[in-house]
Amino acid sequence: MEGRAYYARSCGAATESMSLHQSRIRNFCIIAHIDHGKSTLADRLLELTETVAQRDMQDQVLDSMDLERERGITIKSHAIQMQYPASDGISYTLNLIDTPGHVDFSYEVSRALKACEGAILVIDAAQGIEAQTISNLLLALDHDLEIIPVLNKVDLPSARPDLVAMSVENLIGEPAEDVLTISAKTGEGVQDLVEAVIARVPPPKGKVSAPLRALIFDSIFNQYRGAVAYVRVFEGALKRRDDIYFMAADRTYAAEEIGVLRLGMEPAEELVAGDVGYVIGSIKDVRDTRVGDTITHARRRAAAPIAGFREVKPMVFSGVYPANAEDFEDLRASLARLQLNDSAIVYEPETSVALGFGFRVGFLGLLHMEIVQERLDREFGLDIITTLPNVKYEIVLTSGTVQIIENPNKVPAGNVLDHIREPYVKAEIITPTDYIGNLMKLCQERRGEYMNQTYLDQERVSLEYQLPLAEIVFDFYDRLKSFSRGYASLDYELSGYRRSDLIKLDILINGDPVDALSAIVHRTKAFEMGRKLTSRLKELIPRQMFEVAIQAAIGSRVIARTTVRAVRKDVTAKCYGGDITRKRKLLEKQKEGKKRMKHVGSVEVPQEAFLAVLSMER
Amino acid sequence: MAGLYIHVPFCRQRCTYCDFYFVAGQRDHSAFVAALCRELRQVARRGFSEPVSTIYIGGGTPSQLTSQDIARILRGLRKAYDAAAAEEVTIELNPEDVTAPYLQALKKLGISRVSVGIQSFFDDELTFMNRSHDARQAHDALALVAGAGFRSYTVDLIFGLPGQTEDRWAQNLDRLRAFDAPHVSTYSLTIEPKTPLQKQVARGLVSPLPDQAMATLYQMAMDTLSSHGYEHYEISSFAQPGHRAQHNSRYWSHANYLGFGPSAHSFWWQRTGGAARWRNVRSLRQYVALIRGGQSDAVCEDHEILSLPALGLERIMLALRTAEGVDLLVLKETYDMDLLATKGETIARLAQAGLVTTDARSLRLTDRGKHICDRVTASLLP
Repeated sequence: MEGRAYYARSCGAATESMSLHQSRIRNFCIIAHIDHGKSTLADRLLELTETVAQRDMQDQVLDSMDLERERGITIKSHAIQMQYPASDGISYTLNLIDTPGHVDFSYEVSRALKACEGAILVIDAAQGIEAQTISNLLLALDHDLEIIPVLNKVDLPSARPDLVAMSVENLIGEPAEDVLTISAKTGEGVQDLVEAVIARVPPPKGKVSAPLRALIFDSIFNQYRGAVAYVRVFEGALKRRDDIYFMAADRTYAAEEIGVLRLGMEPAEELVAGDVGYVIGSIKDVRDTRVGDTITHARRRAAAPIAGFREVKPMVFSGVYPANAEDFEDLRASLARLQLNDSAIVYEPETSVALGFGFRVGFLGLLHMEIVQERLDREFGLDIITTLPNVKYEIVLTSGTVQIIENPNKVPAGNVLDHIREPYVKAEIITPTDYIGNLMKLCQERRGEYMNQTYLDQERVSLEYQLPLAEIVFDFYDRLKSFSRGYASLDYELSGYRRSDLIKLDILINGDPVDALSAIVHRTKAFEMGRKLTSRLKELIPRQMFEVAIQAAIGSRVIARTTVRAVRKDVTAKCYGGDITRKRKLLEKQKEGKKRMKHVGSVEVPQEAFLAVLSMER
Repeated sequence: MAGLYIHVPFCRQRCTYCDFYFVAGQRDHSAFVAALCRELRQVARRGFSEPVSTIYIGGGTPSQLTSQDIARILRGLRKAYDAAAAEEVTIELNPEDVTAPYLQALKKLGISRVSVGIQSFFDDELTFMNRSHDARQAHDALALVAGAGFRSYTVDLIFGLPGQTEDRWAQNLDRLRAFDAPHVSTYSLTIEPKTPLQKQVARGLVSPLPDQAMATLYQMAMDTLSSHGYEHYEISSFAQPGHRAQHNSRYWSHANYLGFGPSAHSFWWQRTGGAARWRNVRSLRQYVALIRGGQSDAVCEDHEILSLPALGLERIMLALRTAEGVDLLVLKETYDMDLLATKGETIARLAQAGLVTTDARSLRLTDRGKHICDRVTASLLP
């Protein structure tokens, strides 16, 4: 029982000398762009510290969700504790805190960073620095983390370690010749890196005698144990069975089990200042273990929580409807279960004339939305239809009142509407200089406002733009990649609301508005969007018994129109004794197929039409 | 009363569009004829024994049989069934088999109606379809049939061959009209699965006529034939007054019918409610062997009992094809389906779009509706 042995060790240390205990802990994370090798490096660390036997090694142990493994990105952060006998003869406790790698999850990243004293900055020696790496690096610097830059994939023929090391020097001042080089794939240089972590990352501080303050940097939901909070203790000591108080959630629970995170959860009697571990307390709702919240003792409360807690607010909204109306209750149950381990999802019921009963669901971003859709499909086996994603708008009425809407169909009538305000983001794009022209054009098309341009080195530039969030939630990232042959990277943060010339664009089918296809768009883009939507729908709506008119309209003004001509021929030539069964079966099959059609007035619209419109290029 | 269908599974060669069951190149038909007579007897003994109202000998190519073989079949039939009141006895003929003595022999056997598979009056079209006759033979056969003195006869024509022009179809209709045939069946060329034609299309050797062109040709048939006194009484069937196909009409009105011979279909109302439908085995060899062993019931495949809702669906599907249309009262009383109550809105919309006409009693397709009959049917399903 290695866990128990460790527990005895750590407790012993805790009682003999607190500072000694802390001096043997290093809390750190790895900052890297997608595909730069973070997970592979984590795997090597687990092997080197013998935390995982080589034979049990499954590639990228930390990314436990199937989806994460497939996409090569970390959606949720995790933590793992390792023991490492260093060259100085001392055994150190290394807590590696994994950080999510996508722009949708920047708040979670900030909380994971907060739990660390140091960060390994992994840069692909072939690809160079990316926007997201920089934004996470800046976040890490904000948290006063010791940064250990390291060039990965030096074994690749395309690696340019000297050049990339120079841009690292430009970025953080680390002399280029001191930058470590590794190959996470082969393990080359990894041991030196761990020694550097021990030598350079400061040990945690914090008084064990002070009132308890433990930061929740992640939480998961376990169907048998309830919510599990992953914590970093900053001050004080947390013992098993202590009554604990969640300061932002304003809830009290008993710490039924505490422990450390190795490959699984290993119970312990105590976690003290500097430790990283977990807390379980019959917490039924993951929303009570919010990332960024502070845990203190119920009776001896800390004076103030750890700074930086934020309510996570969804940025992108979309209607989510069951493909089969009878699955509505299943969808409700599935969303509730998803919310158990993804507190960032918010949803409320809504109805659509075209799609029936469903939910308006809020997501952190488009990736988060895709993940939720895929999980509903894979884990819950639900066939769903989603409407065009949109952001949250501020509606200013002529009376001066402001309404906030998450659904374009809630835009009030023209006579009471004064104007619409929309969220803007500050976006940072890092790109090889060759693509500056392309990307500036893209930003301009997306109503971007140029702010700044900084050369990182001779080949790479950082562009700063103010962009409407609505313009980037929809395929902006894909366009960015295709405009730059995959080299440019993007990071953004919300910068506030601005008044814009926005209008509601409606799609009408034979005169009936299709609420699921309504969108709020900028006036200058309405015509093009209307034209594209109507011509795409023309391809997707099959010919019917009657002619079908598809119109795009602003208010009562039609700005684009297409027509689906009526079907010309659909009749079986022969129908004698031997043909009847086959023909009936065909009709019955058609009847089944019709169940998957949505009705807009008398027009049958296949579900695929809604889906395809969503994935349409703007 | 029941209609009897006899399937003669012999053909000289395979027409490219045909998906019926047949065997080619078989000369000795005696085993088949003997088995058929035994099947008739066995089925009648199993209780499917109502008096016969219509007889239809189809195929395959029944005219591959000698008149002696046909005589044996009819003798067998009349032994097993009471066919004294049969109002129509039809046989299908291929033009190349038609001779004056053959026709006279058939007439003597009590055949009252012949169906001539002309399909086209043009050699290039007949060659394309791999028919076993040419235009000359088609013409001659029709002349003989017209003069043979049957109570009625019918001609089959196919339209919508790849590349067929309106002009060419008009010429086919003209030649047909010259004979003043009492009944005409015109079929749009349909690409059935697993036929040589379907393979040609799949390989890109042949491209089907576009729907629009197909619709134009169909409309031409409707216009031409109705202007010459034909009644368009079913999607593909046109008759001069008093010459509707009695046997086929039974299919469209859900009357009992029994099929004999390999691959023949049967439909039979159950005393206990619902109806049964089955098909005979699609293999001449197995068919003959099973019947010899006295196992006429083992010949049946795909046996199913149809529930009332399934039958109602069929009734709508079949009746909509006919000039009388769907009898809403019959549908309600016999099939417990109240179409006006459940589909009133759809019917109103169909009527408004000029696809159907309706009164409280019936629902009928207009000419426009006939072009998209299947679509209209689908919209009326519960």
